[in-house]
Amino acid sequence: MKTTLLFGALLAATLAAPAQAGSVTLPSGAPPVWKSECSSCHVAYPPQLLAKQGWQNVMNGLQKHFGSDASLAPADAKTILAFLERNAAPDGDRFDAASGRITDTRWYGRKHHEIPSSAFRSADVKSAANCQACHEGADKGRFSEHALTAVGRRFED
Amino acid sequence: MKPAAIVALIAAALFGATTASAEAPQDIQAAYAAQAGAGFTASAQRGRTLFTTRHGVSADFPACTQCHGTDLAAAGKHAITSKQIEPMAVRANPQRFTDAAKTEKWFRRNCREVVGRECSAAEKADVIAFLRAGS
Repeated sequence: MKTTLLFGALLAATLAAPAQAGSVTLPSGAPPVWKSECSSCHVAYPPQLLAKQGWQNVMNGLQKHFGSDASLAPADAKTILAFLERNAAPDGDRFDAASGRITDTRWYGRKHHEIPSSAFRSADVKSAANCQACHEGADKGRFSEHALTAVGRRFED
Repeated sequence: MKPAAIVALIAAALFGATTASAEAPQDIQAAYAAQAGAGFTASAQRGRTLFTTRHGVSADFPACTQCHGTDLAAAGKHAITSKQIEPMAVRANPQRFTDAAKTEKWFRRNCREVVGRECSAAEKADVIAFLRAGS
C-alpha cells in the first residue's frame, strides 16, 4: 500500500473515531456559562456534534430557538459562540445542518436509522432533543450503544 | 486590617466574579415592588392568577403551569424537551429567586413566550410573592 493511501486510511479512521465509538470528550476549558445556559432546557449538546455554520445559525436565532425564547445577554452569547466555533466539527462533512438541528446531520441519521419515529414520540422520550432519555451519559458526551437507559434498550434494534 | 476582613476579601475575590452573590427572594421581590411605584403592594393572589391562567399565546407553552406543573413543590417538565425543571416554590427549592439576574432573564424569556409580552415589575413581584407563599 502506498504511504499516502495508508496515511489517508489512518486519517479517516482517526476522524471517524469519535462518531464510531458513539462518544465524544467534552472539550476542556468550557466556559461555565455554556454549561449553565445550554443545559437549562436540554443537555448541553457537545460542540463537536455540529459543524461551525450550524452553531452560528443556532446562536443567531436564539430569540426563536426551535420554538422557545432562549435569548441571552450579548456578552454570554459571544462567549458561548466562540467556544462552539473553537470546538465545532468542520463544515462540509457529516455534521452539517443549516437548520442547527443535530438530528438533521447525516451522522445522526446514520446512527439512528433503525429507530422507528414512534420511539421518539413515545411518552418516555417525547423528542429527539431528549438524548438522555436513551443515552445514560448524554450530559457527559457519552452516546455509546453500550450505555443505554432502560428506555434506550427497549428501542435498540 | 483584621484577619476576618482579609478572609472576606479573599473569598470575595475568589467567588465574587464567578458566582452570583446570593440574594434573598424577599429582596428580589422588594426590588420589583419598588420599581412598580409608590403604594404598590405585591399580591400572591394576583401572582397565582398570572401563573395559572391559560394565556393561550403559544401552542406549546399556553400557561406557566405547562412546564412548571400545578404542584409547585414538585419538579416540572419542559414541554418540548421533557427536561426536568426544579420546583418553583421557594419552600421546596431554596435556590429559587436567589439570583436577580437569573430571575430577570427567565421572566423576560418566559413572559414573552407565555404571556406574549414582557411582564411588568408589578407582575413579577406578584409572581414571586405567590411562589414564596408558605416558605
